[in-house]
Amino acid sequence: MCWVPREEITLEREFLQSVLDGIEESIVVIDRDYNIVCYNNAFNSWLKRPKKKIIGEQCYAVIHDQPVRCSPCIVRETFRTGQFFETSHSHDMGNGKKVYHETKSYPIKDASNEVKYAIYMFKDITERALIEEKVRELNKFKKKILDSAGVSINILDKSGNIMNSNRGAEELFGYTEDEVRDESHSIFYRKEDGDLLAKSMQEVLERGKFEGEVTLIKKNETEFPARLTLTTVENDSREPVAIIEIVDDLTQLKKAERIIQQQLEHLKEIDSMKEEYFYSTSHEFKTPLTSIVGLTRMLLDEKVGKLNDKQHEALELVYCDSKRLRGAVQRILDIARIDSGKMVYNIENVDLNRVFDEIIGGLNVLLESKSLTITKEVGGDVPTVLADKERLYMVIDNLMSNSIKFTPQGGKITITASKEDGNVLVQVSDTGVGIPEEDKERVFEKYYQVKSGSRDNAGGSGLGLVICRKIIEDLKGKIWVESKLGEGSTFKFTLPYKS
Amino acid sequence: MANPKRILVVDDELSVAKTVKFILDAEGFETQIVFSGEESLKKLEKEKFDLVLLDIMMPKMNGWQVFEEIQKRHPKQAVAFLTVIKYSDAVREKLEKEGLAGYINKPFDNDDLISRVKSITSD
Repeated sequence: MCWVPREEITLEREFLQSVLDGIEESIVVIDRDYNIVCYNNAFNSWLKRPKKKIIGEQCYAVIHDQPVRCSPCIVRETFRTGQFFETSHSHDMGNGKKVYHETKSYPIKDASNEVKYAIYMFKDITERALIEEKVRELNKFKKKILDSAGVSINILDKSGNIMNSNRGAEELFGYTEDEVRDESHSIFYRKEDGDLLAKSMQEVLERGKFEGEVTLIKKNETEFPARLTLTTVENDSREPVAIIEIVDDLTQLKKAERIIQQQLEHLKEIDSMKEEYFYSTSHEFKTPLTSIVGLTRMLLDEKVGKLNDKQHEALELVYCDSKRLRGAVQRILDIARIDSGKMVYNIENVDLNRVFDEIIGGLNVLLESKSLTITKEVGGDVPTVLADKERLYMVIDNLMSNSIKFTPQGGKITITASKEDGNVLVQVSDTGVGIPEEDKERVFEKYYQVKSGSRDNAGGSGLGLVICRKIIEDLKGKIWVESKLGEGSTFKFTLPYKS
Repeated sequence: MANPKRILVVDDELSVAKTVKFILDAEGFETQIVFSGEESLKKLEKEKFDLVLLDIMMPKMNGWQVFEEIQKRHPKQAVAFLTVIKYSDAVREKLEKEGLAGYINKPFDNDDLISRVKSITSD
């Protein structure tokens, strides 16, 4: 469809039209009055709304839905200057949507070189323009992400040349992105690390990842320890197209490690000094006591000669006190060890029945002297407990001695063991004076002694229950007391057993 | 007592060694004391003993090393540890399998020491 002016156009009408229709771009021929005189199929298809009339209509009305001429307008420029113009522009469709056109304007001149018509061609590049805009946005986004990362990130090509450098990298190495672009990333490495460099590149290209610790160099030539991570970016065919190089500055970390190491060694020294101290103190106390206790006993047993009554009595006292002293030394050394966590336990399976019998046997004399009755009850299903036999002995002996101490003449003491809730429960009860409510927790504190009216040989330094609690807790149990003033107390503790 | 059993006490602590000698001699044993592993080995070359009572914590040569040496040179010699160190039952059983005749803790009960030494040296 072409309105042919009466002026000379020597091409055949249909031929011209079919050429026009074969062209993908939209073509409109416009006269000096901005009327459309000719158009092609592409243009027609582009016009989403069917137009009643195109030929003879104003181009700005048909193409751009404008009531007046567009400004700027390359067609006008062509008319004005007789030149070819091209441009891209976006253009509001009125419904909030934007279209992008790549437009060209060619002059058609007559014999006297006057521009008679303009050929206006345009391609809708909206899709492409939107994609390009998106890419620009993504690039900005990418730069923002890279820069906000605290670590140094360089993006390299497959040969290791730097394509991008984030802010972290700029700050770490001291080079600006522009300074390093297109440089090989080997500028960050020491000369002697050439092998490492080659190996790391080889590995990342083959396996997709490389991680290692290296020494790198900054622009100001200082070296620093770093953790290097290389990963590849792959295209759809799984081939590497770029390498991401992330560098973690380990300077601070290494410094902290050194400090920790030093402190550890210092602690080890102190620890072994403590160990020596405990050993030598222990030795210093125990060794003299060996002869004091042993030889006094031997004299008392009249193994090296008879004793008269007075000698016997005197030695008896010495022996008693020397055993007391030995007990006190043992307790104090134990507390010191437990306190500093240097207590070593020998954990084994312990038969409570036997332990009870031994302890009761050892306290028989004391029990008789106060006419106290002792009852022992060990449930048939009670298994052996996991404990340090000697320390467990100390705990039970301590509890029993306390009971004896605080129970008046003719009273009753009971010791039982039962299976309860995955543990073994041991109870030592007495019909003694009892413990006031407010003191029930405090009895387990160091140096605390309940103000009892008992005039018994006090003896205790108040250290017993503190050790008992520490030992039981070290053996993974719990210890506590239930009591009623004037009626008696029951000390209870639990210990684990091997199921 | 005819043919008293002979005991060799090895301990670097003079008072401990003398105390043990006192106690055992009062029971009719014949006890000699030395103060180091080297001295004990020299003694064993020249004289026979029914039991060697070995302390463990000694300077220069400790009880373990002495035990090992004695087993090499005098495999039938009865040796018992007399020491402050407490080992668990498991360790003690292992030692006994390896030939240790006994294990006595310091501080000891006199009667305990005596009965242990008696039972080891009787047979």
